[in-house]
Amino acid sequence: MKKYEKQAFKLTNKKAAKKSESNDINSNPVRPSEAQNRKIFTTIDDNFGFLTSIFGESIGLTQTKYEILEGKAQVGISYMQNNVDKNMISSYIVKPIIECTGDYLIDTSNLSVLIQSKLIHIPDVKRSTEMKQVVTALLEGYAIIFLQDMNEALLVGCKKADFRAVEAPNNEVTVLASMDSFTEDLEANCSMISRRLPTPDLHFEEYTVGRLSNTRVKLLWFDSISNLKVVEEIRKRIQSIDIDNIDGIGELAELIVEKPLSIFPKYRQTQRPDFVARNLTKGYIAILCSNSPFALIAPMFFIDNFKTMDDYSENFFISSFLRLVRVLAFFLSTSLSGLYVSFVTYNQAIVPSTLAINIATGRDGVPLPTIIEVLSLSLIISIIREASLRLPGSVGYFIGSLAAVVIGQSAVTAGYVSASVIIVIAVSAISSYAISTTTMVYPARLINYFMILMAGTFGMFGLINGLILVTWHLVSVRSFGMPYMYPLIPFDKEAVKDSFIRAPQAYTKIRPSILVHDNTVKTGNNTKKN
Amino acid sequence: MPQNVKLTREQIYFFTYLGIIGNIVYTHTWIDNDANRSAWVATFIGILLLIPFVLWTLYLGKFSPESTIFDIIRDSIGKFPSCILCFIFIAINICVAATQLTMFTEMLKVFVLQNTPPIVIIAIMIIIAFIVVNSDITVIGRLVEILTVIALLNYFSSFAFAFPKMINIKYIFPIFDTSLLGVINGIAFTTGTTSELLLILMMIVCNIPEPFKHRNWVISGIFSSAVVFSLAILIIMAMLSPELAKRIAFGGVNSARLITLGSSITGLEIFVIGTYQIIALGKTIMSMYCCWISFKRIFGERKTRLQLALAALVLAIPSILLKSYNSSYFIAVFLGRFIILPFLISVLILASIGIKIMKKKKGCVLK
Repeated sequence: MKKYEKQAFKLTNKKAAKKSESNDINSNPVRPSEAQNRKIFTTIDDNFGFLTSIFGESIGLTQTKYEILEGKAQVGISYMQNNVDKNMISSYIVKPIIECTGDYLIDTSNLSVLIQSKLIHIPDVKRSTEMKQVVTALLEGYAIIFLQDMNEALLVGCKKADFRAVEAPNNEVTVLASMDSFTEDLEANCSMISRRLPTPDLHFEEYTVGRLSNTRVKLLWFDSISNLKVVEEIRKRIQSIDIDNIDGIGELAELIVEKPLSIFPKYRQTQRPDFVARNLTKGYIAILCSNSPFALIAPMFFIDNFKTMDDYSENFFISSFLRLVRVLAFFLSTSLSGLYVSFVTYNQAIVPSTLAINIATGRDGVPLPTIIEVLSLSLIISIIREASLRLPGSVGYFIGSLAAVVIGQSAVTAGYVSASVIIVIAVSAISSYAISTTTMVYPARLINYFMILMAGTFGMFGLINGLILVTWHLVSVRSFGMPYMYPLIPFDKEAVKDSFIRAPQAYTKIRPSILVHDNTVKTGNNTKKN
Repeated sequence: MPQNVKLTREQIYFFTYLGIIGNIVYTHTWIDNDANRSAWVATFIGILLLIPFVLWTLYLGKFSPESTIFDIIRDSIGKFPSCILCFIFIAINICVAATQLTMFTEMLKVFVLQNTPPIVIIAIMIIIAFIVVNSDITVIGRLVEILTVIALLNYFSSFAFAFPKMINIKYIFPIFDTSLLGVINGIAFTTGTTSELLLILMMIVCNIPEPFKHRNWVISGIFSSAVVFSLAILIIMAMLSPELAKRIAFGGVNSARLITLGSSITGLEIFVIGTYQIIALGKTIMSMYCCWISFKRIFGERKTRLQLALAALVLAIPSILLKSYNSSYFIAVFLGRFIILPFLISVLILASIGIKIMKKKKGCVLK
């Protein structure tokens, strides 16, 4: 409150300041919320005064008045120094306006039309009579042109392009697929998708969420393909968001997914525009968010965790093999440690005698019971990963190597842990990183801990109970209303062809039926089939 | 009447599997005893003989698509007889689950967890069943679907290592080495025991979309489970010999113990026990579900979670008290031989009479 009181009436323009003293509007401090229902004032000074009282001076609000058309009219230009391209303002707004002579036959009531159509050489121009729109536009990098004796303003897009350049995706590295990735610029991200899918059938719907952050969110889908019930459901969930701040797509996702207590990812975050484009054509729905270099793809099924863009660039035999390898890696990352604990402590009969002797020899002198040994080493692996991830590249590398040497070599030599446990834990940890989505890595690690505990308590009986509980959780999870285990459960013969394996394109002509509402055929005769 | 959730073809198919393969995984030695080497044939025929009863149940479901068989009796004959039948139905389900759990617990005690008190194992199984039943029937259906596939793959992939070294053709031929009466006895016992399927079907018939029209979903499940289970008995006999197979308990696990491949493949009984565990849990889940739905029919839709807890409790107590494998085995045989099928036939007769009465009352509005 005090801040606004101090900031009130401090105008950059002296005339405006004088005028404001006598003006009823500016005689009281103004809160930003008061701009909500205000109309634009008829005098430039009142508008300048109002904006200054809202923003204060420190934010970098620049407001200047110009006499144009040889003194026949006055305009005022406001903009935020930090958000706009100043060269653009001087070259394409100020210069043409000032240099304009009185050759035009002016009807002052049409001044805004004249400026918009004849003088300004910028395509992104909007008109507004609402102060709320003016305030928002200023913050978004627009220059505002106020006209004397008119309660209308022109909002001219002069946004500064200071986003980083398009780079190769760091988190989803591929060998044969394209090498561009999303940036923090929402428009650039949208253009990367529409460039791949240049069709009017691709719908973009924009929302603003976050009471303070005013984060822009875009919902993308194909009207002729996607299941419109899912679109409607997502639309409803986005509209119901009521929160102060949204930083990025992850935070947005948490607010719109159902059953947020589930450990499994129910949406896919991707950096790759090609992956988004491919999924949109299958009937999935994408969400983009300003200031976030990720897109959200929904709904997501369990099997989607094992797909990469390379799968569609490789020969289908190779990509099918690689998918099966990833599924095996998921199984190893979740169950290998548990199986080891079970076999060593309860169900020794299954261990071949030579291996059993090796394990027993390795365990000679180890002070900890197997379950503690496995649990503590798994935890240490998680700590090492977390430490090396948060440190700068070379330091992280160093920490990782040091930890591997110390734990892998010294701990065994010192007799704290057995060599076989090191092997099992290392295989389990490495396997978790072979899954294609990073969001599935931590669920896999958590399930791993759960399985170790179950196996350590009841051996194979506990492990199978753990498996049953995880399966139960998987089949009860839904992603935006869709069963998570699709296409296995409910079974869809066509969609299974692009699940654990990837069948050749010639055999995958039908889109996943659960995702589409009408247009199911994607290859060949594009007649509607349902 | 509110619309029930509808199950898919695959879910019905695997529910049928689970319904058929219940206590028979332990009591099949009784069939071996009756039918000797032709036990697998008797099992195959015995399971197929369920088809008329299944068709009867589905046909009744056609007249009142959103109701269980007991709802039909309640709506036509009256609430009191329906409640009495529900209580008997609950008692039978409790016995089926208790015998299954006890026999499984005793098996674990013999092979794996010698020092673990049976009450702990039973408690864990009951808690997991409670968690699963607390979800809706579609989740149970999806779980049954996926676990049945895992159980079958697990079982038969273990036995794949038995070929050809462990299989002895001499134990299979001649197939019919017993009297016709023996085979008929075996068939009758199989039909009686596997009629546990009808216990489930009477409850989930309201979740089958157009039950009689989709009868093939259940019949294909019956047919393939007949093939699978008779094949399992055949493998056990071919490995152990018919004489040994009918004398020892846990035939599947014991024959899996024999499987070795060099020095690297041993101890496969662990995986076969896994299959038994999935069957035991699946059976407990379905019995608990049947008890819960019956409780709801008796006490109404009030405090349904409490009713589920009650169902879990009434399943747990006899399972804990039963303790002995032999007692459980003979109770299971008694149920299969004399109780389940006769009771279910009487329920079906009453429901058929009920449909007649309803038709008369409504002036043949029912199709």
